[in-house]
Amino acid sequence: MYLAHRPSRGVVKLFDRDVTTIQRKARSEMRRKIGVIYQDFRLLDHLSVFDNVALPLRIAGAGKNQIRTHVSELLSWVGLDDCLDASPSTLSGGEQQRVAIARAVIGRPSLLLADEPTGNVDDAIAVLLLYLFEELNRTGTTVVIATHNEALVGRFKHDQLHLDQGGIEFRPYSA
Amino acid sequence: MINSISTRAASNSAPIAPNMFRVHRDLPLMRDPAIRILPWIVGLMVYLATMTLAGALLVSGLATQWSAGLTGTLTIYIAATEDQTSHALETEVENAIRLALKTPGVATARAMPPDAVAALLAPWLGADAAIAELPLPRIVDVRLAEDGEIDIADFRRRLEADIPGAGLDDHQLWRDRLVTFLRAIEAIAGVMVALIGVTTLTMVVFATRSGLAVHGDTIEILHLIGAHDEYIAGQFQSQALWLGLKGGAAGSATGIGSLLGLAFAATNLDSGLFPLFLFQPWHWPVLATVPLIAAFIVRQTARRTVLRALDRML
Repeated sequence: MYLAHRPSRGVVKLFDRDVTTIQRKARSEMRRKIGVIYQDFRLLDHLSVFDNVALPLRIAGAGKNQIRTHVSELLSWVGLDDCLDASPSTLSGGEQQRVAIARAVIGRPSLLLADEPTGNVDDAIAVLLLYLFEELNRTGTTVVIATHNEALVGRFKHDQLHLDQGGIEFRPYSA
Repeated sequence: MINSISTRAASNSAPIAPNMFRVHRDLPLMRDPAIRILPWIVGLMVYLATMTLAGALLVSGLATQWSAGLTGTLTIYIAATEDQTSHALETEVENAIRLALKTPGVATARAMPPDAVAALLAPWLGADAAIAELPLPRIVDVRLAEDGEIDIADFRRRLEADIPGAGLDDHQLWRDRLVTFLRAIEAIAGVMVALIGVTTLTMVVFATRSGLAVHGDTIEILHLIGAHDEYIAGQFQSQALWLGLKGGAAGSATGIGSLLGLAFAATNLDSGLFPLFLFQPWHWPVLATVPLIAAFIVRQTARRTVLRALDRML
């Protein structure tokens, strides 16, 4: 879904476009609309927390002032405003996860993919993160969360897809 | 602190203005040993290219100089026979000078004294008195007018008809051989510069590929975040340009310093033996472009290598 691989056959549509036929440059543009929170974070240890979060904006060609303002603001909101210059490798798992989330959402993606986003945080923080995703969803971002924590996602009023024994089951939310 | 999490950032709708002139490096390329060595390679290659090019420029200048010098002169030689008296020979020399001076395009004609001819032959025949007893030919040095035109064939024909035993040498054969030899040296220098360029290019390709392999994971993340190939290639090319300029400047400074040293040393030698280090003022700017051209080649090579490699990735 985040275009890590080029489909060899068939049709895969994202944002109403067939990703099997789009040009290489257009694929990069499409990736900018997708925010991804990886299970293993995939932060760049040679860059500071600030630069990791700023990466999507830099790639999009944002100006220095805009980057400084947006990144500082977002890191402040995720509670990492005192770690701007720290290397990700010096942070705890939970802090790294928040950096990864900040990097995924700073570009205001149309689609947010989160792979076990609560795997390294305690339940209280996990709930707060899901509230954040819910707010993003309300402002127009499609959020797809992959998790084993059924109890946690059960607390939120959204449709679910269950993968079990190679099968997939759609469970629409019913009030 | 996590309670402060909000979606204000995500809902912030301020437009993102592009900034084309920003330089930022997301790849830690200098951690790669193959890239770290690049300035040394470029420096060495620029030094070799500077020295080779300087040699080619000097040889070219020398060929022009010698060619111009020789085309302004002719030599009349009058062979002496055993039964010919010195008086008769002297008369023929005077006749030859008169004939030369009457010829259009000739500025001066001067007989070379027998002692001077003997001195020229001394290295081969020895400096003893025996030379004076040999039937040495007499030589007349003819200088041509700078803007005059001379019919050499007609001059030669009249000379050989009027003065038995006289001949005219316009140095054409020697000059042709010399120019051919110097052009061959120039061509070899050109091939050497080309080889230096190809070697530099190859080293840059390997260093860049090494960088791509070492930073493959980071490049993949940049791609997945939405970086174009151009953005990633830009990281490599700006680093390569900087390293190329750095190495090139060092190589060029060393090369030009060496040439200045050689030129200075040559001024203390006999300029007749060593006219090699007669640099023209325009030679120096030409030599100074070598590091710039090298840095540009390094940049473009790194760029093309990265773009071709990325095309096969993801």
